[in-house]
Amino acid sequence: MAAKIVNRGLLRIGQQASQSTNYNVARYIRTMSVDDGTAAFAAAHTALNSGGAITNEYDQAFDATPTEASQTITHVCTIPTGQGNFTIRRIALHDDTAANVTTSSATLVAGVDGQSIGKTADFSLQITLTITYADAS
Amino acid sequence: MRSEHRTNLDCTLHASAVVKLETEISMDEAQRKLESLGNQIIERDDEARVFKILDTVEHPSEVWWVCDFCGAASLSEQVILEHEAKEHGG
Repeated sequence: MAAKIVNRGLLRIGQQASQSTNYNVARYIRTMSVDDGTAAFAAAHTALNSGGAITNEYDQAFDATPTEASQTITHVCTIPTGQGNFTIRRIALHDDTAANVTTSSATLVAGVDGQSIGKTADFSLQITLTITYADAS
Repeated sequence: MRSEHRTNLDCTLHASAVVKLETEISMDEAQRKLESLGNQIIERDDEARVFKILDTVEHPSEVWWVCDFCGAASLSEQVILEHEAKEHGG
């Protein structure tokens, strides 16, 4: 299992924070996806299918504006009963609207792989992804 | 030879997930169903009718191994051990 912020995600975070050359007001972390891909996320990945084709994928906007505490940003997404009903193997964050996120869109910021979450229409699934920015020196 | 973290910024991603029951299914029946789907129940809250099924574990940051003699660094402890033996005689 890997929980990874990919290189383009790190760059996006830097761009947005510093408003550098490719800063884009609309390209902030705003969508969460689930899919059944079995490839591990790698630093060079830019899209969900960078490591191989995806059969099932679902994405949506966060439930609310992400919250912050200390240096941790919390993103929450509740997948309704009628969506995401497959074996969820990966969860990811994207820097574009849900309408623009696809399995091949260059929107990948971060992801967790190697999961096996079975979901059916009996349940909704509330997923929380946090990013902590810490001084590790 | 010593080891050290070479970066001061650590961006850690953590995931957790809870299942919320949206039908009249009982908690026991729901648990059986969730487990039959391959889910591992981490916590069960009967009052809230939710199950925690995901809580990832953080991994330590990458550790770099550093030569005591010249400061050469590598992610591989073995590489630095061999470097110290070859270049500095131990």
